[in-house]
Amino acid sequence: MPLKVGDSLELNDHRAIIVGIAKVTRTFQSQPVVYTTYSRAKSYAPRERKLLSFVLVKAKQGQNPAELTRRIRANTGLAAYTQAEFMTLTYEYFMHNTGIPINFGISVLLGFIVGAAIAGQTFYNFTLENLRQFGVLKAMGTSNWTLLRMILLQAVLVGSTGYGLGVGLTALFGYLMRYSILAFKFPWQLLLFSGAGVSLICVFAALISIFKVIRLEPAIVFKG
Amino acid sequence: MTNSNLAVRCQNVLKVYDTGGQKVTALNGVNLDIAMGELMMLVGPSGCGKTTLISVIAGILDQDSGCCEVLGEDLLNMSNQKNLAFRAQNIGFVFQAFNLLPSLNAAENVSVPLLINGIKRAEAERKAIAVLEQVGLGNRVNALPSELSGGQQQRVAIARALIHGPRLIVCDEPTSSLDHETGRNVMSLLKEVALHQDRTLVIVTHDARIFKFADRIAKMDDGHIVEVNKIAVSQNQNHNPELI
Repeated sequence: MPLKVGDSLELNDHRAIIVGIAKVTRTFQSQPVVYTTYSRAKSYAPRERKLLSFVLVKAKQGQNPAELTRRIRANTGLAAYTQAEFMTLTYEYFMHNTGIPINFGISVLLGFIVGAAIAGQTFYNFTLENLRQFGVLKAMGTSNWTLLRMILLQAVLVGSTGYGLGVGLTALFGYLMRYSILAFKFPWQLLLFSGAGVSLICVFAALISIFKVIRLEPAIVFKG
Repeated sequence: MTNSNLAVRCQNVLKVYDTGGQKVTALNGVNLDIAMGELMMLVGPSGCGKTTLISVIAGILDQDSGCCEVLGEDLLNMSNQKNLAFRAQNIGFVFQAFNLLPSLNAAENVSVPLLINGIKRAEAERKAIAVLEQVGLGNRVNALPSELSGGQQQRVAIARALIHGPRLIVCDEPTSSLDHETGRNVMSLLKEVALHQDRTLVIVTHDARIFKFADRIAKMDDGHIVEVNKIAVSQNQNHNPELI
């Protein structure tokens, strides 16, 4: 049963009352996080050599965060980071010290391979179904270059439509999830990367069709 | 007949297919002359080489040896680019299965040969509508092939074969998919609209009911032309015409 405000629970033989529940986005870690004062935290947590992970500092209005971190470093000898630096540090921690990038990478790669295979097969089937029409155009004097441009144009149109639908639906999903606990980020780099992926898939799909059409004998038009 | 009067001159044309290691001789020394303005039919049993011969004449298949001059040009020794341009300008095609592009309407289908020849779309479609009117389909210019009957589709195909003013039209079984009456109408149309002084028609057919439309009939068997006849048309419509 989920906890709610007013519930009590026991943390290492110490009673704790829930006075608030933080709304945060879901992370990759599954451990619950308890927010409390430092003095209470010391009583709840078992004794360890280092109890304090970090101190959150709120800069006064007008303070330069970079200058502030420099001063904290100089005066305490501790590491101090601005919000952006801490985000980068966290990102790099997950990238270098966890299996998340590999798992995500494999998912993306699998998606790319499956997408390329399905798109290639679908496009190739389309070409096979219309082989006679391509033969008719060839017989009537259409050059391979023109047919190649026709196939590429079809690939670009199909790719653009698919990319537009995909990006649109993703953006809509993100918009609908804006007040939920799901973390959603859609940076321009992702648009660029997925666009390049879709382009590669389209080129691959078009290429296998192009080879078939270029090798096609126009005499096929007279075969029953 | 002098060479200048000839639309097609085939001399000792040989074509052998290699079907999985087995050699099949489709054309075995074919000799055939077709005059300008003539309607020549190629007849014969299945596998006798009719389709191969019409493909060689249309410039879409290269023979292995022999010479086939079409409108005074030796297509075998032509560069690929020149061959494409020659076909685009001089050859019209009519197929048994019509082979219209299913997503284009009648006018767009008919305008395809003009687009291949570099004519602008608006001009091509304007001419296509005029030719469709000529073949009696002026009221169906926006119809898709799926919305047309077999006879209407074949008339669209004839309009497509005519629009760029080719000097040779090759037809493969143009009436086989049509009933008798529609087939007769299609042949009448071909003879009236397509055939004139400097335009030649070569028609491959099995359909004896349309033999009467031919100027001459070349009978093929086993890769040879076995005889070329003029035709005598019986006055009785129910009788098949006689070859003389």
